[in-house]
Amino acid sequence: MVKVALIGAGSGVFAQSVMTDILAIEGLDRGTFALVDLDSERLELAHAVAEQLIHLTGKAWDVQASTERRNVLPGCDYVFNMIDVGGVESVQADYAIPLKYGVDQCVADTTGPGGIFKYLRVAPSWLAICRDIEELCPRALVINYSNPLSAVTLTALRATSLQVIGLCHSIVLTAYQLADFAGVPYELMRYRCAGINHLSWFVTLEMDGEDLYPRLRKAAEDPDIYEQDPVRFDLMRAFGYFTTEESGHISEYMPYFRKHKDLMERYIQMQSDCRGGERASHWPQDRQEHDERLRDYLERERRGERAFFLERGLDAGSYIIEGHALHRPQVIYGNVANRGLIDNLPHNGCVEVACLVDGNGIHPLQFGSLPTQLAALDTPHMMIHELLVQAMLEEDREAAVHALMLDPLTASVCTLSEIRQMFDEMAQAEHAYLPSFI
Amino acid sequence: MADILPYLERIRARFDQPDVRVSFQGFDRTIQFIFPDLKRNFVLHIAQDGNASLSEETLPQPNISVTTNSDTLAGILDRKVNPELAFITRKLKVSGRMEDLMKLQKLL
Repeated sequence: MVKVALIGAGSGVFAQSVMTDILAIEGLDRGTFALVDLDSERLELAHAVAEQLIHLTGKAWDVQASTERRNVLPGCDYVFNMIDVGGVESVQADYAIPLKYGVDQCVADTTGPGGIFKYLRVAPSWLAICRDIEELCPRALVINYSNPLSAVTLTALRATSLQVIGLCHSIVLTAYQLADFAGVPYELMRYRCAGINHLSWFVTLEMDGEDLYPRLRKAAEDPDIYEQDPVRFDLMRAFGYFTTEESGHISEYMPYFRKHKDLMERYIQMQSDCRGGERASHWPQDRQEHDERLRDYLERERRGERAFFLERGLDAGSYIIEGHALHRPQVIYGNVANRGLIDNLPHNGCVEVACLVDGNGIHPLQFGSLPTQLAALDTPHMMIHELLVQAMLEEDREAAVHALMLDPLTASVCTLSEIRQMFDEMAQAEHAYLPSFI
Repeated sequence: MADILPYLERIRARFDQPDVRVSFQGFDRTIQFIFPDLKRNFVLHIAQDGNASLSEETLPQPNISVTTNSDTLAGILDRKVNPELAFITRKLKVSGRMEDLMKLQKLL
């Protein structure tokens, strides 16, 4: 019998899949979902979905739902965080204001000006949630999905006594892609991957002892394959290794791909997801369509049709619960404190490595050193995370400004004075959702 | 190998529902289903008014292309296979404009 809280259960992306996956764990037949969302309408929808999923699996789970997390946190064994703060207008400002200064972001929620301001909106609520967990269920394993994942996770690692891990599915998704590109069965492929979230690197990629990188380089010569992921293939050609976030999103982590309009156009022609403002233009509609789909599924189930899918996904959250609650050791990729894990990335920063999960908890596995050029691409982002956490914990506005000044994409197109002006303008536009010191 | 025609017809029949037809009005597109295991291709033609027809043919340049084994598509329509998982694990491959692909989700 376990109790699992989902904070931000109205999340369009994660709540349904997390619950589906947990209910698919063999042998975990009893438990409680504690759903929390400030938006009562979305909470009600998540509650209805949870009840239907439980009904379909026939398991003895029950559901608590509340707009007040303190009502349901006591007794929780696992807390999943999937909150967002700021709504549609902040997402638009995250994209539109930097664009005026020539910074044309793509997703704009984990890095760059958009990622930095999203952090400044999310972190105060996240810290308050962590304080409540420390008080009401201090032994819970805390699993964070909220972006910007690295900085949000690092905040809890630094400021709380909780056992926290950040999860993202980008490594496993990329591994499937790589098997396909290399023309080998995924099940036979072996790999070691490490770095930071969205900028981890497949340092070894093998099948039966054969290095698969020569096959991958050959595959990249085929335009049909290259054009599926042109930025990542260009990075692989330049730095020797494949990274873990798709072309559009990874292009905004770097100074190379989005600083000229004609350069961007070249990539957009191959991959439309390299366009500027991908999230800002799609997110409100995606969210609405996701809700409509859930309502449609519920209606179809009421009519006796089968609408929901019960197949377990690849996300690591349910595998952590399986490993921990049922003492079945699992290896997952997670974002944790770098305490001797990756030798040439900053100590105590948030890194992404393989972790063993068993009945005793989460045990990150030592990786060793990344090739130097890869460590050099990851380190600036880790220093930005560091500055953001410093800004939040010490109420230091200037540290947040420094973070923006050091962002590789912003620095590739703006002067220092332009960056400060951009920061001020974004702070003004989003002030309703930002801490007062910003 | 699944007998895929009844499954494709189920997709087409969704356009008989008024709400689906309304939501696809103005979305005149061709969706090509490629089944390597069957070595057969089918095309769903969606008309301007939201009606749809199905034919066995191969188009040189469909608006959307869906490549999968027949068992995978049958599993999706029977709710035994999660399409997102099938996509991630490359058992289901789609190509086309992002906006069109988002719309395609409604059919699966």
